[in-house]
Amino acid sequence: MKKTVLARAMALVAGIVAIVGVTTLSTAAAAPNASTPAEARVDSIPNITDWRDISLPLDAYVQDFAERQTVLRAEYALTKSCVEQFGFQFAAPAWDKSPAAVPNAGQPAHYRLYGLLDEDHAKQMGYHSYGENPASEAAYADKELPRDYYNVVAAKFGGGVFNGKTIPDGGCLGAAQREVEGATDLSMPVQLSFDAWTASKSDSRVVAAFAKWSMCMAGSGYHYSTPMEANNDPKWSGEKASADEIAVAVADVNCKKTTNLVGIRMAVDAAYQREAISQHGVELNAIKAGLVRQAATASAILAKP
Amino acid sequence: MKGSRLRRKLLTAVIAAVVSLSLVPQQVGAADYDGYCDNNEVCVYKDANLGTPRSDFLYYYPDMDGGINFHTYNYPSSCNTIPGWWDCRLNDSISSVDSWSDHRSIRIFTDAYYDGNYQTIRIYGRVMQVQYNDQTSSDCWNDGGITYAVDPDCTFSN
Repeated sequence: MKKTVLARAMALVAGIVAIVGVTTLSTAAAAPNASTPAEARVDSIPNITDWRDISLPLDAYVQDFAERQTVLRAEYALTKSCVEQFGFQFAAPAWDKSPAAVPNAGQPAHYRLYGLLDEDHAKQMGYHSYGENPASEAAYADKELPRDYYNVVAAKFGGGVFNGKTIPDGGCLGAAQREVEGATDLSMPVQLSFDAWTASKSDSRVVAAFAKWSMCMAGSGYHYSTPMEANNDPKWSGEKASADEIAVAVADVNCKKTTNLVGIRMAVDAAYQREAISQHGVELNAIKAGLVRQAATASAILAKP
Repeated sequence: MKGSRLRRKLLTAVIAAVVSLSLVPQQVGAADYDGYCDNNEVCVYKDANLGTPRSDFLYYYPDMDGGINFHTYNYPSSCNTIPGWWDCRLNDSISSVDSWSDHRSIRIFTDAYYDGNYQTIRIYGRVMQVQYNDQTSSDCWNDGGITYAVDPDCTFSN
């Protein structure tokens, strides 16, 4: 996120608001006036100290790990068959995993949606995450795939005709996607969740919570207006976390817990999501039905010998 | 205070630029960062509809605002010079993405180190307008199957 003067100004305003005595969180919708839109109504605020407890209303409109895996496997099976008709071999990506073997048992994970909340992670790595860049990846750089292959699989060069056969629109993968996923645009829940998350960031109740978190951090000697500012501090740009970064990250996690910042943000985010669901109920119900159809189509394709 | 922070930021960035430019010949894969999208790379663009290429890379950007990976090699050309390092930051400047990866999907995040909200881009995926326009600060490749992976947001259906 942009580390701007605006962000600092907002934090300053939030701090002033906190200092003049806004120490309790209003759970009712803020009163609208001519210049500001009404804030979403929050009925209750859970205490959240574990990222696994973060759940949101729009989670019901996206596929979980197992469902998505089934859809993708069906699409890769169709793609393989199509690509072979053009004389190529298609290697579907591996990594079939049991939902039990993935984080949060395959439910939508919101590990750092509101910033780092995992104290063990903070103690080990600060804000960094070290699980990437394996040496085995180097082999892929040398595995030259021909242009025609990319064109047949995904129409990367515009499709056309290859070996006398017309490449489907979007390539073989595009055709497979249409067969399994249909024409329904499933991006709306993602966009709505982003809109709600963005609105929650500048909601007065969250801004007040940021101010409390900021005061808590100041108690440890760290001066940041928001958790995002601490996370995005350019001082942390080294390959590994420094001792300073780890100390700040640990203080950040502890301050999030003592101020219930994540609980407040989740409650406000969920409130905006519920508003979006009520405004887009028809489209979202169609999407939900589309997800069920996709899963059934995918299962039927995979069941074929 | 503000001036001191700015100086620190500038110093960090200049050091990062010097280090990163010194690493150019050692990048894995001859095609990495060459301005052409190919062979398992993910390519990011300044504008929608794959307009104005910024970078093509095989691995990840944990922080698009600093560090040895923060730069692009192909646009603008001044990125390849130390004085032009500031133009090279990918942070909050991406509008479209083209994945040529045949084995890993990726996620792009609104904040550094896979923090904040994210959008998933599947293998071979082409996204003409990302949902978080000019708000992407990091990306991770699907780490499924790698046992030492640590970030749950980077383990997803592939």
